[in-house]
Formats: sequence, C-alpha cells, structure tokens
Amino acid sequence: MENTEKMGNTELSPEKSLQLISSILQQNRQEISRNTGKPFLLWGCLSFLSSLIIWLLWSRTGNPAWNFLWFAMTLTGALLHWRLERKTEEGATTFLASAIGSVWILFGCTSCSLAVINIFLPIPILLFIMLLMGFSTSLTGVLIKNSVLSCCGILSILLCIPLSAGRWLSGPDTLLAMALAALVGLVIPGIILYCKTVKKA
Amino acid sequence: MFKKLDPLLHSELRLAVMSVLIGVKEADFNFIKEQTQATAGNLSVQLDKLAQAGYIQVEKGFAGKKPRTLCRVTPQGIQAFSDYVECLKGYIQH
Repeated sequence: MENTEKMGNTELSPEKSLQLISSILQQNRQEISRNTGKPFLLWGCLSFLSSLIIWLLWSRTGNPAWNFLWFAMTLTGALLHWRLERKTEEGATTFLASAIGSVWILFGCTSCSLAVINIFLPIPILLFIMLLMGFSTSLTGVLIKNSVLSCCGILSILLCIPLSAGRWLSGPDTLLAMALAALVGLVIPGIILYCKTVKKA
Repeated sequence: MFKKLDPLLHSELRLAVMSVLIGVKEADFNFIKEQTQATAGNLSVQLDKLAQAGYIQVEKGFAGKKPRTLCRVTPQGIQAFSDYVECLKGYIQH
C-alpha cells in the first residue's frame, strides 16, 4: 500500500471499498512485472553469447557439430534460472506469472524437440526457434500489458523475413541472425524491464 | 432495496486481504502483511476469521527450514467477493 498507516478493522464507505480493491489489484499487476526483466536478460545474454561463440567455432572449423553446444547453453541457463528464482522468491504465485512461466516452458520444450527432430530430419531449426522466441516475447508483453515488449517480439519475428530472403539463414551465418534475434527479442526487452524495476525501487 | 454488504468483507483489512488473494494463486503471510501494511497480530486474527468463514484456505508448512503460512482464496470466497463488489456497484450507482 502506498500509505504508510497500519491497516485496521474500520468499516469503509462503498466508494472507499472500491478504491481499496482497485488500488490493491493495480499494485498486484505492478508486482508481477517487477521481476520479469531478469530472466529475459539471463536467457538473452546466454543466447547472444552462445550464438557468437558457436558462429566463431563453426566458421573457423567448418564443423556444424559445434551446434551441440546449444544443449550445454540450455542446461547452464536452466541452472542459473533456478538459482535466480530461489534468490528472488516472491511470496506470492500469481495466475499471470504462472501463465508466463508456462509460455516459456513450452517454448523451451518445443525448441528442444526441434533440436532432436533436426538430428533425424534437416530443418531450418534456428529460423523456427527465432519465430517461436518472437512469439513468446510478444505474448509475454500482451500478458503484462507492456507494449514495448510486444513490439520487440513482433520485430524479432519480422526480422526473419529479410534474414531468410538475404540467405542469412543457412550455414554458420544463421548464428549471427540468431544473435540479432536474441538481442532484439530478449536482451533489449530485458534491459527495458530491468530499468523500470530499478526506477520503481 | 439495497442488499446488505457482507459484514465479513466490509472491514478495511479483511477486504484488503481478499483483494490481494483474489489476484493471486496463493500468497504467504509476509507477502500479505507487506501488501496490506497490517500488523502481524491483527492480520493473523483477520486471516483466522476469513478461514473460519470458508473464504480462504490457510496452509502451514515450511520453506526450507523456515515456517511458512500460505493462503489461497476458496471458490466460496471468490463468490462472496464477487457478490460484495456487485453490491458496492449498486450502492454507488444509486
């Protein structure tokens, strides 16, 4: 609550009751978007750095097997995310936070499935992952009513069009496109959300 | 004729607690205390009253080694809260 008076058991007027309900609901919404920035930054930086490292290794050696490093990135990310969650324990589980969590868990599961499918059937996996990532970012933005986040997601989806038209989505250069998508779809929204949190604090 | 406002919800702290819980799946005691700025003793009493009325469910457990009290609103509580808001709207419109 914004006022610092201790809340008591006083009866309220109907107007004051509605005011109290709406202010607490509003406060709840702000609490939810408070810690959304850190996971974005974590996964964004990891994807960005991994893309650059794998691009460097693949283009130098000519061996696409370096892409298996994505699995190591996923494991590292999951571990760091788990530690981050433990550190920033909220005290409340919101329906919205659960929904956002489910969106990103589904994204992770679909991406891992695509990676396994790619072992048996050659598909433009990073293109699919970039589209899914943009979709998940936009959906998160819609859920927390943050238009900047939604726009970043849409932008990273739209980026796939010129990248595929310019043949950037084949060979090691795909990873540069992935790094760009991670920057637009995860790192920039993460920085924006994180700065908002710091300002509020 | 106005419907009578639910006396259990027509108190500042109990209404604040219900407003916090209605927007979340579950919340622990400290979170509710922080959001409502209530004293621990008073909050504890009001949580008991809401639990006795069946509006909320209180679960005592542990988070690691620390004791933790988790609260969540029941379907009965959701119905009571929604009836209360409908009543309030009636009062304000007339």
